[in-house]
Amino acid sequence: MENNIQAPPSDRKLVQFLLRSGLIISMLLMVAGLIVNVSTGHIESVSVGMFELLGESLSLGDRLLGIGVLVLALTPALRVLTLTALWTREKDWKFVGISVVVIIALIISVSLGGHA
Amino acid sequence: MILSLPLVLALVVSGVFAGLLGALVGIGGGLIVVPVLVLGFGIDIKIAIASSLVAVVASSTASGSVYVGKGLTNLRLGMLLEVATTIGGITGGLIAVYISPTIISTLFSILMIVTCVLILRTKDPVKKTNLVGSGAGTMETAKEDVGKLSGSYFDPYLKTEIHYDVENVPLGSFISFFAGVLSGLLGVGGGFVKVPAMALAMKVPMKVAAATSNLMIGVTAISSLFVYFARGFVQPLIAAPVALGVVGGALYGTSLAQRISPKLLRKIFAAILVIVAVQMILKSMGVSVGK
Repeated sequence: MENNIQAPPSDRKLVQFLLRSGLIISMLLMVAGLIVNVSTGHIESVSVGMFELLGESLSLGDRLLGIGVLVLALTPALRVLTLTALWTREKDWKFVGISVVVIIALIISVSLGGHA
Repeated sequence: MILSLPLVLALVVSGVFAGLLGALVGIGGGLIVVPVLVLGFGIDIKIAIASSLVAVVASSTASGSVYVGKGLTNLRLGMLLEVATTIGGITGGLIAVYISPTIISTLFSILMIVTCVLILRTKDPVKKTNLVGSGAGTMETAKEDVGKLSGSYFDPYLKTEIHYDVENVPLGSFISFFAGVLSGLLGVGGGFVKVPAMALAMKVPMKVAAATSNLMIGVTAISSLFVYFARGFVQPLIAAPVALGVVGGALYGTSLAQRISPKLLRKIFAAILVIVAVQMILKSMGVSVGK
């Protein structure tokens, strides 16, 4: 028999839970942001930088919308981090290394964006 | 851009349309979102691409969670190819900032025509990629071998467990890198490149290739999205309605796909792509089309 050490189904359940949770939270934030913007008359579409989200220049609606986009964008990244932790627990070092490279690449993308 | 409630609703409907068609033919929907925003709403192409990337992440997360639940996604293979696509995505995102909108529009038009040809030449993409709702696989029967890329899943259509190995990893990674570059440059998921790369070059079953590609698209897209987001190209009031619509459309599309003729669907989709591609070429040449 070849390698028959198999990943447990609980890995998939956790990944599925994370993806669903991230999607639901981000969608709720976006809906809330749209409702606030439409109801308060803030209907001019403005560019929102990722690093402006905590600043004071944004309206509540734009802030909720921006945070919704950020939560959505972080969900796949969180999935990568979770798999790294799960594979570490399984001592699957080859794929731990691969996922760490992906994490580093994502960090580079954030920092490159920040140096506009 | 001043948005009204009807305009916000129009963006949601556009997202539903993109998500629906994308789910039906097995792509992320970015190919539809960008031209709709540019031609239909007169939005700057870089803002449109950033909005499309948000929509692609939403679509990937929604359908990816379903495919993981079905046990069809090969998480290890996805992570391995994400190395190449993420680096490609960053490269594309950086290049896009320095390229003129005209060149991007022209590249996008060429990409749509190539996709049109690929869709028409693919024998049965709907049957092969429409996994949701078909009862294909379960979380309990799906297996991945620790430390290896091989895996298995239960195929209810064939009533058998399918075991597969993965071949030609360097070639698959090489092609995935360019899928990432396209994603960053044009705001598309790149699934139409990744699925053939896995299925044809790496000998992965089509169902696993489609499901794995779907999950990967999210990570590929965020590698570019972070660049666009940090540089202020994301306009949430445009991106959010589209993303909400795409999620609704994608979820509905995965169930609707069971009841539509794949041949008819491919022809409709190809026709739409050609029309939009021609309009984008005309626009890049300065000929006024749409809004």
